[in-house]
Amino acid sequence: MIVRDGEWKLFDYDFLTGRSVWVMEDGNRTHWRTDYPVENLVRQNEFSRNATAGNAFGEWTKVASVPLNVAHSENLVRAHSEGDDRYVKRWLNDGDNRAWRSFEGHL
Amino acid sequence: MAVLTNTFQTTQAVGNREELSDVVSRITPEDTPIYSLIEKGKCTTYHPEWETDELAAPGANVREEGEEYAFGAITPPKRLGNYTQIMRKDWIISATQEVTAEAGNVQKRKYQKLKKGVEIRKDVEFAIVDTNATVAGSTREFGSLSTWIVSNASRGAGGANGGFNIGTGLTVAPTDGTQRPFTKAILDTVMQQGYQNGANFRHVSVSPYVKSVFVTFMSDSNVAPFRYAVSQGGERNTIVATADYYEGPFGTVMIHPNRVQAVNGGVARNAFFIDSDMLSFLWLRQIQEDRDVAKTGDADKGVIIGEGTLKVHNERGLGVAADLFGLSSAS
Repeated sequence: MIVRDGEWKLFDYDFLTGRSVWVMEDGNRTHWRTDYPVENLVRQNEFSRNATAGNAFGEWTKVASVPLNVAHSENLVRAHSEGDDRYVKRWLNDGDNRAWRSFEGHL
Repeated sequence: MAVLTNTFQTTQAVGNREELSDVVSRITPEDTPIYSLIEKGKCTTYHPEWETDELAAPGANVREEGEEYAFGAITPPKRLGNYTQIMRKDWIISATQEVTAEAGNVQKRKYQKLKKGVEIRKDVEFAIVDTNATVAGSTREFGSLSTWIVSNASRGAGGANGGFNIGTGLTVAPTDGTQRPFTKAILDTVMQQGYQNGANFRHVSVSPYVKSVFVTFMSDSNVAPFRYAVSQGGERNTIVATADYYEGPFGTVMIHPNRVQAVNGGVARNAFFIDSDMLSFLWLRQIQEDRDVAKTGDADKGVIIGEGTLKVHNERGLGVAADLFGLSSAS
């Protein structure tokens, strides 16, 4: 059975996380789309931020939880592998990405 | 604030459709965390070899005045190698089925080809995280990551390292120890061993369950007490599908849940600490479609095949926390 969303065909679905991967052909190219439910994650991060407000950096502080596809598409994974900490920290400190932060401190 | 909608969407166009290897390398990199992280290279034989050399351990260096010279022996570099492994996926669709499902175009075959391409890539990831020792001969198998690591390893009671055997040129599978829950102490042990051995761990790849255990480290008595709301059964537990950044005493690491490591208890019991400079994957034959499969009968046959091996530049740059409960709190 093929599940469709307009032109898109469902390629992969993860029941645990709700992540779905869709594929679409336009004749020349294959397009991929990854849908991620992030409502819970944003809420979880917000909860952590509030709960750890005012704490100092301790041992193994979780500072951010980023959806995997965002981490890859924003080049965070590559930058982190290559040791470009400045890029990663600038990205995480950016107010636009605050939803993914689980700890308030400036990195 | 950006995003904050129910669904986050990424549309990614990938290259020419005939470049199968290129396509499957780029789609959904989060499905194969380790393979996606490491550099991809080429090899020209089924048994690529490389050498590792290391500095002697630092020690006291005090000499007497006017002393005659004595000369120490040179330790030759270690010569390591791995064998390539052939991986294949195939399918056959009757010509009628091909036209019935989607009359007018050939998407069906193409769709199969893509699916098999992704599957074979996941098989590569599985071969990396599995515990198979190197096998030479015509049914070759490359030594998986856990068979290489001996320097930075934390194992359960009774567990033993495998490692590369210079004599045979093969890796040996590690011996399983008693399983134990993942703790902050285990994490710190491996991180510290790695730091002392010159590793620069940046990524940790674990089964989704072990990743959820990571979160509880923040409740460690040394750290400010902190409780997490555990999601109810049936509710989506998004916490396992994210890349988490941890700032710790030995640097910043990113925790990746690896769904391939959840396939069975044997691969779920290891947590891998990775310095992506120390690992690469060499392809002798890139994942590709064999276009010369003979057509017989009223059906369309397809084969995609690839042959490659894992190159562990230096196992001192990698680490493993083995014998963990990887699927649940008791398995």
